[in-house]
Amino acid sequence: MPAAIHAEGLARQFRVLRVRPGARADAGGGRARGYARVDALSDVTFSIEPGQMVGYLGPNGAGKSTTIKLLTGVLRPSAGTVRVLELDPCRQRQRLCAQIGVLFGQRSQLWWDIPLIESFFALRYIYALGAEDFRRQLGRLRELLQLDAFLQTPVRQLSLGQRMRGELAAVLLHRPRVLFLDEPTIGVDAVGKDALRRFLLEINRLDGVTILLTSHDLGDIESICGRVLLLHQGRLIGDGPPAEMTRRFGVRPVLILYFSADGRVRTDQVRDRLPPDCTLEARADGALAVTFDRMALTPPQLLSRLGDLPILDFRLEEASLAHAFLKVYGGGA
Amino acid sequence: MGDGSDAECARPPARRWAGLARYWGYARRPLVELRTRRSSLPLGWVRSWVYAYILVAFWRAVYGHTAQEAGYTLGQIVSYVVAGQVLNAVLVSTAQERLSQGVRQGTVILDLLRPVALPLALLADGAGMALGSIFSHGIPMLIFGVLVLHMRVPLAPTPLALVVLLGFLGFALLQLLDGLIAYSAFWTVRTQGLDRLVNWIVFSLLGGSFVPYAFFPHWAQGLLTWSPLAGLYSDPVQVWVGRMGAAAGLAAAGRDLFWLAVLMAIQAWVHVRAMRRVISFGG
Ligand SMILES: Nc1ncnc2c1ncn2[C@@H]1O[C@H](COP(=O)(O)OP(=O)(O)OP(=O)(O)O)[C@@H](O)[C@H]1O
Ligand SMILES: [Mg+2]
Repeated sequence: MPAAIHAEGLARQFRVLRVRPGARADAGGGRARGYARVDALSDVTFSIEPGQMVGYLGPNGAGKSTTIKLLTGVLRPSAGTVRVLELDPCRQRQRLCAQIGVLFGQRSQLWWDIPLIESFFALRYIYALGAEDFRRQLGRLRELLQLDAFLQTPVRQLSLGQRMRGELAAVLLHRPRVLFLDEPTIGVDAVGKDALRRFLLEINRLDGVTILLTSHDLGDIESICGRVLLLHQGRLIGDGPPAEMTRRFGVRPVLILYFSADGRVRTDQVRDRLPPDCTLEARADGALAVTFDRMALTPPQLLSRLGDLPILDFRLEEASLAHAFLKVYGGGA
Repeated sequence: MGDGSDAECARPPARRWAGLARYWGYARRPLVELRTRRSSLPLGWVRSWVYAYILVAFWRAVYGHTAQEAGYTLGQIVSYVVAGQVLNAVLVSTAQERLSQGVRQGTVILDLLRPVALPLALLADGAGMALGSIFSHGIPMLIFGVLVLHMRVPLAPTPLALVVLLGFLGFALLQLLDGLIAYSAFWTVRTQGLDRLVNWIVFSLLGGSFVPYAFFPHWAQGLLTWSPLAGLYSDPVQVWVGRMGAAAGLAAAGRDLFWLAVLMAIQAWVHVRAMRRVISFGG
């Protein structure tokens, strides 16, 4: 089966005005000093199989949104090729649009002043959906996303979470085969996020929709994506399952040990009993944090080596994508 | 690999026309919006009635005791300006508002993510707007004009048909002219500020909505009569008040068609270039 999304050597530059201090950026080029080139994306290559759910990760300004715009034909690449569902997004934009759904979390595609349901009716015509088909899909989305309470409410009166559910329904009405979601959980509370994640898993499982998702909530990605792409300053620096990413970037689990107050334990007592690649850190609450390599030492093995010390309690902090993220992008451990 | 538009052409004609039904999705938005704010309509009527009343009062003052100015009797000039106000209902376009705002705020990319052609979507939006405002604005103004301001209305079939035809062409011309200004947003980013004033001067004043061309200096008359602007208000309104006959009216329609073809070609050219320049802000 051909890839659902294929990008090869994808690059995009932007021209930005270098404005003299004091000159107005929007006053035309008159007093500006000229243009500077910004590489928003350089040489990005990846391929996504039909039905995959892929998380697209990177700090602010890494080029995630730019990639989505390139993949959906809104922006032209400066270099490289893109194929989505075997179509060239720029040249065959209209045909591709009928088969994909795109959601930009910070922008509403719903019509602001009219009831939510009216936006859906409009989309019914725009995507030339059959009456029966539309009725069925809308019914399903109403149930899955629980839209009934505010279908008749003008969009401008919806809460952020309600609007996001409406947006999701709007991009799925025409049963797209590929879904691009740019920060779909922005501003949504924990309960809403959980519901959205389950919803995405559901449509991925039932309809086989391919999903490319960006989010600053790493929990979103860790909980639903079997694969992540890591982007840094416009370049792809990692590609694989979340667990592999955390391993690859050397993020290790941490075992936090609490000792009984009377039996004073010195850090070097612990150190002596552990392999040299473990790091120890005394915490403010008196506990000791041991970072270890799971490949060399399992938590039970580690605990058994410390068996003669007065351990009162312990807690295991697994290495998470968030730790990997901080390590890769934040420069810290 | 074929271009999207090539693929479009390769479709059988029946499918192509069925494709036009997509644009109803755009045309119905202004109609639904109208429905949701129907309670505030009467206020709008009163406002536009007062406005028309002031325009008429202005012309009454200009005429004083004179029977005729520039070939227009007072009765004709009153009918002229009020008919211009009725025509305002049709001469609406949302392209500038939608596109320049869309480019500045980056929402234009949302329109590009639909399986439609942007120029047609803008046109459909404008058509829906015009259709709605015929009912919300045009008809109330017509009633007020006839009952209160003693406006003359063409009831014979030929002028009536001609007014409808010229009004329709005027609508099409406005969409293209407004669309061209709207597309400039892709280059300048910012087209607001002066817009309202420029629009008012170009489309209303030079289109002949408040003052008939007969009152303009000779050189301007000659220039304007040949421009697409004459197709906006001047021609349909002149037929309306009986200042333009069938032959002249048809000639005007022919000139409108010529300009429509020219403007469509320009817009197609501009559209292609604009699409290459799409930069989307924010995000
Ligand atoms: N229209 C534009 N003009 C100039 N530069 C731009 C434009 N759009 C994006 N950029 C630049 O391209 C880079 C990538 O931007 P992009 O919006 O893709 O980042 P992102 O990964 O989506 O970030 P975020 O997480 O903050 O949304 C940034 O440095 C940004 O300043
Ligand atoms: Mg972004």
